[in-house]
Amino acid sequence: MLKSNIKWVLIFALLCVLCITLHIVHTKGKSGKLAVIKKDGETVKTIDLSAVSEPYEIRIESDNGYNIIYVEKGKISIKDADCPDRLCVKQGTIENGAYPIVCLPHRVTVSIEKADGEVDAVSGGGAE
Amino acid sequence: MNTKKLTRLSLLTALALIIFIVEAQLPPIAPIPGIKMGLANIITLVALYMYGPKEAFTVLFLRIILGNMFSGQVSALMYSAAGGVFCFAVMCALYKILPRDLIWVVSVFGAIAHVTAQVFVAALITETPAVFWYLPLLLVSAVITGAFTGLCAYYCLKRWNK
Repeated sequence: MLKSNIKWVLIFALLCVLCITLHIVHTKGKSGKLAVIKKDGETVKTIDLSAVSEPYEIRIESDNGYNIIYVEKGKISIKDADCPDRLCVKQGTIENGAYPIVCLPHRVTVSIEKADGEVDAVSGGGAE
Repeated sequence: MNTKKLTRLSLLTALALIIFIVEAQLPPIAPIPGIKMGLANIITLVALYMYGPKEAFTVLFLRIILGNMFSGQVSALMYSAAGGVFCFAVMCALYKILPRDLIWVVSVFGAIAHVTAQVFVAALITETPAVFWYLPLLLVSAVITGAFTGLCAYYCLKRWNK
């Protein structure tokens, strides 16, 4: 029984290593300037982050509450929200396309795409 | 269904509900959407091994519906239900195949199924395919939390068994 335990530990450890490698590879070398704010899957606003001179805020109202998005030159974050866990605020500032900011309760996402409108070659062909 | 079984299942449901609601009050572990301990799954596993798929599903179903109502997060119901049902299907398929000592493996596969389903639902609802990039990190967390809840269920069953 100990043997099969070790076998499974090894399998899962390998899976973890693979995932972490994928994460590191993915996070490196991403660039993008176009921030896309979506609500319920529909694009609410696109902002060219390289053209922002003064930081400003956008308020997104959804059925369940609000998110306040903070736009700066080259980066974007969610400053405040009234969702239960406020995970979108804790996800912090993004400045490349590696991970989108997601507010699951309000169905709001903020992602950064390349200027020509494509997320990138790999993730562009997903759910849509 | 005799009275003893009914009482036990009710108790399990109540326990799962308490664990679920208390866990929902805890601050998130990491600033990544979808990561949580999933402690309520201990009860689903216990019900599965003690009584079987039908009874365990009842406990799971009631916990998800009531839990999301009580914690006031009806918007989370979709993610919770998709994850819960898919996780349950995988655990049902595996619990007969793997020996009883390997509950933690069943639990890890359940957790993996759970996060995968949630990422799919999240990507569909938000229509943001980039959400899929969270999957590797979520899988790592699923292996850790799944193993933990599985071991909890294993030791619970050891003590509770008849």
